[in-house]
Amino acid sequence: MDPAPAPHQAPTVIGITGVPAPPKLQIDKFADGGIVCLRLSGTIDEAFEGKKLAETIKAQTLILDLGDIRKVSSFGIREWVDFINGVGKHSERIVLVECAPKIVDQFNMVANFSGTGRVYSFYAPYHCDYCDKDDRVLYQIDRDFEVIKSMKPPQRPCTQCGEMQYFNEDPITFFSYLAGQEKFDLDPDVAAFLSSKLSYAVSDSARKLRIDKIIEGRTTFVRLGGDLEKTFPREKLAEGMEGVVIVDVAGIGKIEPAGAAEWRGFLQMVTPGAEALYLTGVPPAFLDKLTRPEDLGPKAQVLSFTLPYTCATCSTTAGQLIDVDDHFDVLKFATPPDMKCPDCKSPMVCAAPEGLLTHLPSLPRPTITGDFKKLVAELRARKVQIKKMATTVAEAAAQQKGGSVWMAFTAAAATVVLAGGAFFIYQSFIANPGKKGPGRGKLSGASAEVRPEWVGSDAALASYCKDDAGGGMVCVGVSGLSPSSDDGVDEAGDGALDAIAGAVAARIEDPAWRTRVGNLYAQARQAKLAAADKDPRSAQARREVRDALRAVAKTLRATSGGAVPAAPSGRYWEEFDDGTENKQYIGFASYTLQPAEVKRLVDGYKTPTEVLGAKAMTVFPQLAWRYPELSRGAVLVSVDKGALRDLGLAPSYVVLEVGGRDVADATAFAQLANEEMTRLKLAGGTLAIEVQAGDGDPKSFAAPIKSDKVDTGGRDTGGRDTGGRDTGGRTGTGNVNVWDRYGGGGSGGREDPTQ
Amino acid sequence: MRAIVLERNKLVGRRLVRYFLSAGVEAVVVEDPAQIPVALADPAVSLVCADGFDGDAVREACRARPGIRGVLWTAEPVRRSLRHLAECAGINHVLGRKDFESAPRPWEMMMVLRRALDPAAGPPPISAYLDWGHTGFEELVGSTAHRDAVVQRVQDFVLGLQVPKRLGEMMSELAHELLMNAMYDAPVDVNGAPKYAIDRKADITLAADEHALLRLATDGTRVILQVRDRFGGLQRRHVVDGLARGLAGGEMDQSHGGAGLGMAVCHHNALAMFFDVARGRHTEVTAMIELDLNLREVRTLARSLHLFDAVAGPQ
Repeated sequence: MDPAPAPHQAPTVIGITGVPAPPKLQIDKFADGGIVCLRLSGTIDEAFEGKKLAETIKAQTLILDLGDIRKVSSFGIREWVDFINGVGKHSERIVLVECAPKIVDQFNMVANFSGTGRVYSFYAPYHCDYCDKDDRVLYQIDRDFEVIKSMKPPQRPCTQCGEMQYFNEDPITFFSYLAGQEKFDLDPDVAAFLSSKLSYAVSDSARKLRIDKIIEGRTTFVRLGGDLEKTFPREKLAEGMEGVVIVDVAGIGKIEPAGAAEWRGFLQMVTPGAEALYLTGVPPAFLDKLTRPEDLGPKAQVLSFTLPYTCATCSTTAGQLIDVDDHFDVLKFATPPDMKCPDCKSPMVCAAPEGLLTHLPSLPRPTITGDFKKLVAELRARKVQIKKMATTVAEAAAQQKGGSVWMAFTAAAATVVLAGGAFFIYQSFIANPGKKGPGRGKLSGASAEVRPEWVGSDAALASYCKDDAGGGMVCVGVSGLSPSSDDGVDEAGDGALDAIAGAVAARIEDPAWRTRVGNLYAQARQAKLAAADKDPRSAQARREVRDALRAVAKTLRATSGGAVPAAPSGRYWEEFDDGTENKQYIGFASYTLQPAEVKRLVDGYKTPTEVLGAKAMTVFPQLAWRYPELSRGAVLVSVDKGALRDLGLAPSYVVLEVGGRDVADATAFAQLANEEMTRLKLAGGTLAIEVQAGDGDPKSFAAPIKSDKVDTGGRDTGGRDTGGRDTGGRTGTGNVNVWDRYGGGGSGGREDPTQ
Repeated sequence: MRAIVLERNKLVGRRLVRYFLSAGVEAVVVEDPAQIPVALADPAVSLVCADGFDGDAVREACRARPGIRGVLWTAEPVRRSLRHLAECAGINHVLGRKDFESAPRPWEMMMVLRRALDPAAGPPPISAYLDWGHTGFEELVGSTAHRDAVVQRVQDFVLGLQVPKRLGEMMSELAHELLMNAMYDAPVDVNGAPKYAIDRKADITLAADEHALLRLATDGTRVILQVRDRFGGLQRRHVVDGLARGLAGGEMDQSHGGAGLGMAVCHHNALAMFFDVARGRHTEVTAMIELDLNLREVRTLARSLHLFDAVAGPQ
């Protein structure tokens, strides 16, 4: 036995005598107004004083960060349940964020472990077999709800080597509690606190700028919350702003450079018409970046700002509001005023960086009266019920209609049987048909006097197919709002082609196809559509959908063998006037497919081709949802034996090149592979195949093939040598088959961990 | 000794017969529970074994012939077999297996059979849980501070085996749990009253004869953690009922020491648990985890539970 003391000898204490052991559980506390965040790190065991801690927490919203909890003992569980029940009595909301896998285990194991709290985010354990690295991936209930609900966490690229890493837990067990939780979004104030003050991951939508406005006589009070980005609506906000203007910027989170520029522009626009301009509740980042004399201009003054202070007694770091007028005599010496902890009254220490403090003397002394101070305090405290100001044209239009939320489309492909109709509709993705989306405005024109009959839904970005009784079908696509009629109709055409691909997929019943091909893109497609659905204003999400549709259309044209008509059978557009100078357009396009064409498409994509002992199918167009660069290739559906297996290829790999030559489809793959093998068996050389395996860049697989006629003695001399297994030249190529590096492939003894 | 083995999978049945023969137990394999009463007519039969799925048949056999003992194996969560242990004192073993096409671990099966043949032999040495040759350490733990140091040593030792970090944390969590029971719950005074269980938050220093003994050993394929106290107070209900409560959703156990949750924590962190109790002399709890499994497998593999000696039912 390793250092083996005799049984029953005196105990050996490990550690350094006289040095106190570090606490098993460290608790950091951050506070901002009614929001308190507790960050717990270490072990929750019998030493955790749950009840006592709960008594010290007074918060409207309590955020519990459990990301660094490593161990929980049974007695710790009891203490924790006491704690969570205790704080539940004093807090309106409890949000648990970044919960460690150990905590997720407790949710699954112990009733009431989360109390009245809701889990917003948690870490899922992942493992990479290639570099043998354990990883943690953050899941968020708003962003990843569908994955959590499905209990099928996808593989992801390893953060170290880029190969695919897999979820290293039993998903059914791990997600059992979380999947039962309802989806929810963080309240904006909580999201702003987490993202801006503590740099937590929260969804983009939770950080969108919110604007509240109160007008009292000649005083205009504006409250801003969220991130300051380039979308800051300076012109709309500055419009008609006169008299005394007070802007409460306490809720501002991150400040992007473009957002800062917009803010400066806003101040310049407001300054001429305003009698006075005051900023209040200025957070540290805002204070640092946007309150220099050149930023404030001639009229703007800072009434109050916050600085972080730490109370050593309570172990709390909280933003403390500092009134510039009250503390001006101290601030002018670049010194933070003395503050006492509001809870324990102990002196607190300012935790602001030195650079920020040196800026304090440049703040002008506000010229205000005591009554005005009271007014500002009253306005800040007032819970306004003012409508959110529109930050986009679309929102403005939505507000005119009662501010309904725009649902762009849903992600799931569904088959709907129309009652009384002798045909099916394959809804590729379609929104609530009753809602047209935001910002269309008034219909001001169209390409035809009467809307064509083939237009079923006009929901933005919808696409659908109708089967006719004879086996043919008509597929229709609808664009999003577009700047021109041509753009709209083009996008609608791409949508219609995606609907065709979806209808073809619905007709392929081969389980191997569904497993090896359908599963490759379903999740990516769903994720992109869901992202655009969730945040219709997100330019990135919209662009990703548009790019994917375009790529699907391109691939369908390239691989359909002419079964898809070259141009739509129907085109139509409508023009909308939203009151601005720019008109917007919605395009519609339809494709009509004859029964023979539908059959050709289905047969073309579902029929496997034998290739060197493996089976491959022509790349399916909707794979472009996952691989937008893909427009050709063949998908391996089985690799049971032969050269491809020896090379290390596995099912679901998409073959792009054989020996440097492009693979157009499954038939071309078979032809190229056979030709290449024949050549190599005659002359010897390296069989090189490029594939798309998982996300990331394509990978090259290469292995030497000995000539049947001449034994060259191992190292090949002809053809391309891309670093075959026997050359040792694979290091540093960047595209080597890592699996081979670990002795896989040729021996066939190790399963491909990406599968 | 003769045993009835109810196993519907012929391949598994043949393998089990081999194990039984190797242990010196003659096994009669049946594939239908209806065959058990007939086989029970043989007076030499003293053991009835089956999958937990057929636990009712094993319980029926134990009821029909007092003195018969039952052994279950299962590929499912152990809580589904717990009711058989709770309701039938003759069933003391549940052996986890990978799936319905697999037999239980051979060494575990052999240990159960060998000990059934010689119940008076007492707990085996730690080497019995391991392949030939192993390394590890043992420590007597007598104070709260020492407990924490030993728990850390367990974690460091396991992590030194190049296993995932979480496995090391699981083992240290297990060590903490077992030591808490051995140090705070087990010690009783001359009247049998708990000495330290009243306040598990308090730092304590045990008298020399109260120290808990922790052993940790590995043969490279599995790790064995064993904690022993000299009081022998653990009872069958603490294990079976506590585990049942803990696995039923963690409803708070109202008895002192939190046995339900403690058992559940142990259960989650070990693939097999062996409880050996000699009333008033010792309680020895041994936990096993395999190292060549990934975490997903560790999570999903069916657990084993063994009750020996005083915690077992009437022999």
